Amino acid sequence: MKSWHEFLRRIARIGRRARFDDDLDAEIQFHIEARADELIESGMPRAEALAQARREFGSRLRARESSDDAWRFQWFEDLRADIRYAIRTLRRSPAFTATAVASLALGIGASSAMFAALDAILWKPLPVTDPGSLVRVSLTRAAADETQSVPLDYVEQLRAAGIFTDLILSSGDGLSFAYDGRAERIVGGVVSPNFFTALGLRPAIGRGFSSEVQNGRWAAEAVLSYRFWQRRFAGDPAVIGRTIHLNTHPFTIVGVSPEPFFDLARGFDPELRIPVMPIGQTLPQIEQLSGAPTRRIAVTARVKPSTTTAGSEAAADARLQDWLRSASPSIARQQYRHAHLQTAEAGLVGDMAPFRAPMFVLLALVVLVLITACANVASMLLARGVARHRELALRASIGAGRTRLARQLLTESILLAAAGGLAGVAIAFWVSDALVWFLPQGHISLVIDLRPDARVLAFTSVLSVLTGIVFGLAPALQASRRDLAIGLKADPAGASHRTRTRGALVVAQVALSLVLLIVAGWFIRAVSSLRPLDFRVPTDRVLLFTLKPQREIYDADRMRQLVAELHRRMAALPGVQSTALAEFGPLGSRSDSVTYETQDGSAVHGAVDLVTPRFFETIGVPIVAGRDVDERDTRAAPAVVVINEALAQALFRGAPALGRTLKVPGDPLKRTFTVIGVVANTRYYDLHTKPGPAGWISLLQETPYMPTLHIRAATGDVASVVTAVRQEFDAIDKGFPIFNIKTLAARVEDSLARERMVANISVTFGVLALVLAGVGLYGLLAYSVSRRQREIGIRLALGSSDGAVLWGVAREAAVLVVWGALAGLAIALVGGRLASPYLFGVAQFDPGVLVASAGALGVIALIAVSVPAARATRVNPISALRTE
Amino acid sequence: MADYVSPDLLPGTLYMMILRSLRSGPLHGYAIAKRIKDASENLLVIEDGSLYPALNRMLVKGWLKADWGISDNNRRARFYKLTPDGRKQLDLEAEKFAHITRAVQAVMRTA
Repeated sequence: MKSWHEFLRRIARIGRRARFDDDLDAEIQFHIEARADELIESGMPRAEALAQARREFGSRLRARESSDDAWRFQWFEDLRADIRYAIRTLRRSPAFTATAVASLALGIGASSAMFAALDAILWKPLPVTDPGSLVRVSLTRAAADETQSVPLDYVEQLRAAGIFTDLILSSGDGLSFAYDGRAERIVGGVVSPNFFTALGLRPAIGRGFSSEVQNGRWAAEAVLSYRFWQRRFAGDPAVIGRTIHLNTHPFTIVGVSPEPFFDLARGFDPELRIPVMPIGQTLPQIEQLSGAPTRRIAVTARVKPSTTTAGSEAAADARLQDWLRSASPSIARQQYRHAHLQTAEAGLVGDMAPFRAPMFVLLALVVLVLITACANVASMLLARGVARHRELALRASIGAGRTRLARQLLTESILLAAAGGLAGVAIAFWVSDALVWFLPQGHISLVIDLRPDARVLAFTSVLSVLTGIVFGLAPALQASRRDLAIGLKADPAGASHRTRTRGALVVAQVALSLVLLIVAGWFIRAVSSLRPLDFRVPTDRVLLFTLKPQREIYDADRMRQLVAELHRRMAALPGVQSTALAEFGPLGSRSDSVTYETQDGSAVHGAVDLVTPRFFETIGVPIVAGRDVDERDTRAAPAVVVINEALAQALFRGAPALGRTLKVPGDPLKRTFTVIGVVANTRYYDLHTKPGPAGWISLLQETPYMPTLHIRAATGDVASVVTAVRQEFDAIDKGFPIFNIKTLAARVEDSLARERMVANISVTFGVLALVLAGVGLYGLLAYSVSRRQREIGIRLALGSSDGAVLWGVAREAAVLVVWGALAGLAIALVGGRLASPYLFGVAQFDPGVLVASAGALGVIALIAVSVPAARATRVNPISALRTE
Repeated sequence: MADYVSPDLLPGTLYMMILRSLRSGPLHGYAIAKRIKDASENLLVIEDGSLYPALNRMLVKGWLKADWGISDNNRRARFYKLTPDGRKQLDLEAEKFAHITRAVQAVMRTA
């Protein structure tokens, strides 16, 4: 406290430096004159009195300098000297500096990359005006989860009540985008006209929606995202005013949103944004623009500065209760209960939520890598401490205090860490790029903003300094602790103590890298165990095409005709072995489930899909009993359903399922479905769960919405099949939106994106740690061999064989590696058991993984040992004995 | 010239004497030096060159405050004043000093 005030007083003086000097001068002048006055009074002549007074005062310069010193920050001056000295020292041993900086750069860089990713997903505030006052409105429901789709009618109630400063609406949908004769499928954001002004987003070029649009007169205006503008228009500033077509309707480009802004929800970056229509208006081409009062949309609101979130929530809820009392039956069916506000400062985690836990797992792993790197540098510093022993002892003997020496050494460590941090930042950017690569690119692509920013830099700086202290403190204290008298002797005592510490560090490194390898192995096993074996065909030959015929052009009847025609045409293509359509298909980003009820009242909840004939054949799911849906199962025919064994078992408990009938509550046609077939169990929509009950209804008896065409190619040449299929589509309807073309194998990989990301990154971390441990082991052995040159020389001179010398070195290494491996094994098994809830349930005693990890460790250890061991055998006895 | 001792010979006492001389009210630098000299019957003379660094160190420590004012002979002078912290420090040092003096005297009498 006291020193803090002192610090403030010193700081306060810095700005008044000139004034301070003047004051002191004046003061000294006064002092001299006062003394002269006294002398004059006692009868001395004036000139003589002044001279006498000056003489008595002595050196004015010295008085000024030492007064000045009183105010200076001594530690600051020391620090500058320390840094200068540290730079000089580090420059003198470039090999040591390079190794240390490289180790630290890897550790710090990997940590910063993980932080950047977590920050981008969870913490970074949105780049909008006052993000802290933004909240997302959601409604709790009696029978279902809380929803963020809020009816427009209620939004109008909120607006009328004036509870919030701004109400910002947003939703997104796939749109067919056409420009320059080229069509592609994009994600379009449908947002309220105040979107850009209310969020304070200043467009990169052009402007946000026009004031007419903001005043309620809708116009076909579009604002491009920065990245879409770069990608599709090469960042051409002349795009403003150009016409594009969205679902065939012409729109005018009015602006480009600012570069840092992606979306209010994390993971999204819609290619463009268009304004939602005022209540009551609709645009036939784009349903999502509809301003129907029953339309539901996501609402982000800005809380008034005068109120709290809780206050606004109470007011919004009161409005909801009023509104619900007079609500229509369709609203009443939703069973809304309460309005709920949650902070939207960092955006909504939304679709990135599944990545949250894995990111924390990876963060924990990267800390282990960082510790390994620190251990490496600490070990090298200890070795250096021995080498610099005489230098330090000398400095101590000429008066450097112990703290002063420790501080000097610590400065060196922090300087090393800072250099490592700087290089680490470069690595972090590179790693972040690689992270994006693991995000699944499906129906809607996930994007996060991983570009480096001030937050990442701040994190890296703090981390670097902390790292420097962590690995530097022990060596600094140890090096400065020593007894000076011993210090000046040739062979320092305490060196063996240091070697023991270094040995412990190597053991820790080996242990940690083994832990990382084992964990990585578990994750690899987890991914491969999740890869389905359910599809009994080569999944890389099954092609998927998602199509969205526009409802405005294809009504229900035409849609069914289209499906039948596609089915026919595609089956006739050369190279196509089998073809089918399904509304959702396996492992897609869309799915559905219903309750299946038997006549005797037993009910089971299960997955449902709509499929055409030959679907099971195409994706390779065996039909166990009965038949597939076929061309006769149309609207005119009785409704049929194919179920899997799990559903059959759940509903009929072993009794024959074929011919039994089911009902599906909520079916608008209230049909009775006859079970015509039973298929094998599969994990159909989600690979992460056990195969559950599922049923398939004939697509020809339903209205498809956005079906996926499945085509199994006869050979591995899928590219030519894709070309042929595209031509067929063009023959049916030019500009038919087909997208998300990929193989079933690729879809499997996409749905394992999270696990693959964790596995790949943890393998990288494991290898990194292993290399660091190898370097640590090598460094220790090389040092120990060079120190024991004389001993080895004597042994060789006395007739010791090369083998014996080799074994001497190898034994030293083997002890460390074995201890490290045992410790690592114990940590991995115990830690794995404790952490198993977070490890996708994969932590188990897996001998294969343990053997493989230990093998990798062994190989690295052998390499690290062989060089110093070989050097030991080459020791020349004569020259070794001659040293000193 | 040889009949006074520099206060530097008694470490830490310079601060104490400066603090003591300011107890009865603010003084400027010259007056402080003069008061110490007079009170010690010309035995203790602070080297003028070391007075101001000492005053500045005490300002940093927060024992003193300095303000410009007008001296008796109508010149602008810088007056030093005790702060509450300075007063506490004075009590502390005076007590410590008395303690040591008693101890040293006891040794000188008996040993």
